[in-house]
Amino acid sequence: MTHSNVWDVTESENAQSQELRRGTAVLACLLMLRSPQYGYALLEQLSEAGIPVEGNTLYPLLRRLESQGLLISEWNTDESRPRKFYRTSPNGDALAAVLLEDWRNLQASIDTISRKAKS
Amino acid sequence: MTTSQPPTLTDRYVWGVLRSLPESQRADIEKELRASIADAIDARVENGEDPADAERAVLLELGEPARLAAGYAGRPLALIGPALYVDYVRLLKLLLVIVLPSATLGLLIAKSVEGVELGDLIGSTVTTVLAVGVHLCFWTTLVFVILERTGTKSPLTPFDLTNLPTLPTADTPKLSGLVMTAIWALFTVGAIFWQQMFSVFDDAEGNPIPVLDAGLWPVWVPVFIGLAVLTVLHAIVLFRVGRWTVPLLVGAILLIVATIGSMIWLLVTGQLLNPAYFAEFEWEHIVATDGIGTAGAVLGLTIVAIWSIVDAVLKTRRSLRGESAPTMLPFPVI
Repeated sequence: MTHSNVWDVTESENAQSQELRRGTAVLACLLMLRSPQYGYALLEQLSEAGIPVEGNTLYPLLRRLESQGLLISEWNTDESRPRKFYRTSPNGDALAAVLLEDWRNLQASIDTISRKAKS
Repeated sequence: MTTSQPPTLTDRYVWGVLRSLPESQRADIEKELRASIADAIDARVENGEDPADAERAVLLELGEPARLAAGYAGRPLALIGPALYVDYVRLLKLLLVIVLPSATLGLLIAKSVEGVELGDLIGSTVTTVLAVGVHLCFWTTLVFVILERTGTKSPLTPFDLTNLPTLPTADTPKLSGLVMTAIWALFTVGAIFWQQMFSVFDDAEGNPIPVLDAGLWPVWVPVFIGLAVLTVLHAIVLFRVGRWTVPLLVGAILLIVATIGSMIWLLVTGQLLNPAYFAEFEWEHIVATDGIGTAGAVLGLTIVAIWSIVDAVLKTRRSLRGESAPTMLPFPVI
């Protein structure tokens, strides 16, 4: 690998990294939306939290999760710009708990493998 | 949308997303999408960007409206997805392999019976078979696209271990064999026409002297062409089936006996060759019914027939017993 093209390496790293991150957006949303938030602000929050999601992925995702009953939405028209606020439903909370458990188990498994490989 | 002012890029972008979405969802998605776009533009403007530049940057970041609309509608961004793709390719191959040769054969027979000229025969067959192929591909694809859109999420034919391919052996019919058979058949049919129209020798009036007896034309030439086509079909089926079976063996023996048998019979009754052609180089006595050439040709043809039949019988027997000649990995052999 040392002499292979640097561009190829980063390109493939990006692809692998994206593959690994796929699916984390749902969990991050469900956890983050335990306090209500609207689309663009959630995008910013996720990005600050280190889970950058593209708008064209996040906006349809929010509606999909809502139609699956995992999120609840409400229009807020108090401000000059009406915004649709989403928050996690009880079903969404339950799913988040399951996914979080999966996530921790995965991390433990990977850690174990990583340690074994070293020793 | 308010239309008192000329539409902005955002207006056009939002319309680009909405127009392919169901009417009932449009209002809600529009309000939300506009708010999201406006929020993103505001954030950029607060960082000192020019509002027009900010709008462009935000819309470019959101990307192709049709893609976003597909996201909202939950539509796949592929004609045929991974769940159905294998079924699709398999069915398409199967249909093409069965229908195209059958159509070709049917057309050739039908047109020959009508008595069409060779050029027209080939031309009309090629165009019709091409059209049949395009139709097959189109309609099969359409059916699968509809299945994909109507939410078929699992393969149509569940994977079954009995469908696993058998390992290739020395007896496994190879593509090269099929190609050789097809080329040989084309060459033979071509040669029959060629020797009739442009022979090496011309008679006193400048007409070509054909190698084959002119009496073969009304009946025997179509028979031989038909046998050639059947031989190619047999090779295709053999290749697709992937091993020798009893029906394939019977077919092969019938074809060999019919082809070589009729050649031998025509030779010994003096109906196959044109004596005038061989007279050009004074060989007429050799190819006469009691000539040494005829005897040699009969012997040669008989040996070829017996050898081909024995070979097919042995391969079928090995295939039926599940024996194989030494397993060969799929490396090119020749």
